[in-house]
Amino acid sequence: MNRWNPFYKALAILIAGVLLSFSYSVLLNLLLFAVCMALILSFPQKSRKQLAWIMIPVSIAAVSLFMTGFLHPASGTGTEEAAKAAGTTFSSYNFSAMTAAAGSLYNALQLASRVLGFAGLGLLFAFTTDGEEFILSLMQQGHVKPKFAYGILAAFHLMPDIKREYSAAKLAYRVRGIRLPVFSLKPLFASMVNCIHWSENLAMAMESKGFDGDGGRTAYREIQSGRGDLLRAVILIGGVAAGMVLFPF
Amino acid sequence: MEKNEKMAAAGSAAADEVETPVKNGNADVKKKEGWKLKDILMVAIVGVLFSFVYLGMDYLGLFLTTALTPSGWGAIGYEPIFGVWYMAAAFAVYVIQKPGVGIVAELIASVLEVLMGNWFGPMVILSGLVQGFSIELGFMVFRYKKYDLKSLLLGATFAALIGYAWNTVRSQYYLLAPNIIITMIVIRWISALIFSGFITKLLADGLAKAGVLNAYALGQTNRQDMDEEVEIGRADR
Repeated sequence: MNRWNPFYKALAILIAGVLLSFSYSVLLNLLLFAVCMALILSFPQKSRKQLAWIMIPVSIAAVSLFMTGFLHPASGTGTEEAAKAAGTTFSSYNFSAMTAAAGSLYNALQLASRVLGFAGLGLLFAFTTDGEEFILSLMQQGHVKPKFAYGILAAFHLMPDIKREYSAAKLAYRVRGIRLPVFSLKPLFASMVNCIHWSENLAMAMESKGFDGDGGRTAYREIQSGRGDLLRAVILIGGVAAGMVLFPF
Repeated sequence: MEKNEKMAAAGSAAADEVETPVKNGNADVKKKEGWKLKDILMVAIVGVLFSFVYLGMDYLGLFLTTALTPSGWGAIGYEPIFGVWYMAAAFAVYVIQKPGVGIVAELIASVLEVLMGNWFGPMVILSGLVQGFSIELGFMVFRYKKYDLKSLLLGATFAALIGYAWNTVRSQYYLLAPNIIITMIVIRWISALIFSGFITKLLADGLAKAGVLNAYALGQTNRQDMDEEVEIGRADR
């Protein structure tokens, strides 16, 4: 999976994700999630602790959408509406209330499992792809212009410094004994000033070293691509498409 | 006397205009491309900074979602901070003031988001495309002639509405009750107006005033205003 060319992997996951957007199958979502998790866990070098951490917001999102879908379903599947529409006899009232509850349960499962399906696909990419390789692959296979690719890469590698800058700006106010309201824009503004200066200096530095953002260039690190990439893409997209046809529920 | 000075000023300005193409004869070809390395780096780095702002508020979204889950209103937990997503595109269009900037800026920001390990993975790029286009629509309506609060707020409105439509398809929000959907849209809309409308304008105008954006269209219009003020001041004396 981590030998899959990052650009084609991203493209295949994107297409599979769009397909999944138009599927209504709970089973497909859950199956996809299980397969993706199994694939991620089959790589011993990947941090399981990190995966466990990231599953917290994922599961909260899934549970909360489940609750929202179950307690507040769209009209027509709502318990009250169905109950009103039900017959006068007690037994049929009970029966229709039950089917309505089953309907909103199914809706809720659809909503929650959809989140898991997407999380599976997204995490599969995040946990099996090296960021730098993805950008190089965007440039080499996706024909993104070098100036965009290296611009993004520069910002990516600056991330720790940007983070430090932002927290330093916040700290600077505290050091001076100024208590800022929680959503104050002042530290953001201060760090934006420095960030924009950085971007100018960095552009100047790159260009003075002879960086040409438009011209064709040879690559020191060539990201491989081959038939295997196409095969994996066909399996993933075909699998999702087949699931859409085979699993109606 | 006043007139003479003004004419002289106008003359020198005209001379400047003639001079620049000669000076940048080489760079003229690049200008057609639109995006300079400096612009890309600015958009990318500011995008990263905004994503840290978002991550800082992410806990708020998580907290709200968790707190509201038992009542079934958990789906709206992240809506109050949704506007932060649109800030990168709004800031870039407002500062650089060229067609296409919003889409490209949001694409750059979303690729960075993927690199940071967002759990939606490459799907974020598609959302970025939708968001960037929606923000830009606010400026497109005025044929890219108005770069002001009105366009920013219109862009924020489009971003909230079109973004929600995309979410409806992607996350099957049509399965939810209308009151939930309306609440979600309204909160997201207000969030978009605040973050990618008012706050973005406040930050960009402040930066332009501080002289940080002199290399960009926003900084230049601001500088021209200031130059004029200086000229008027001189003439008065």
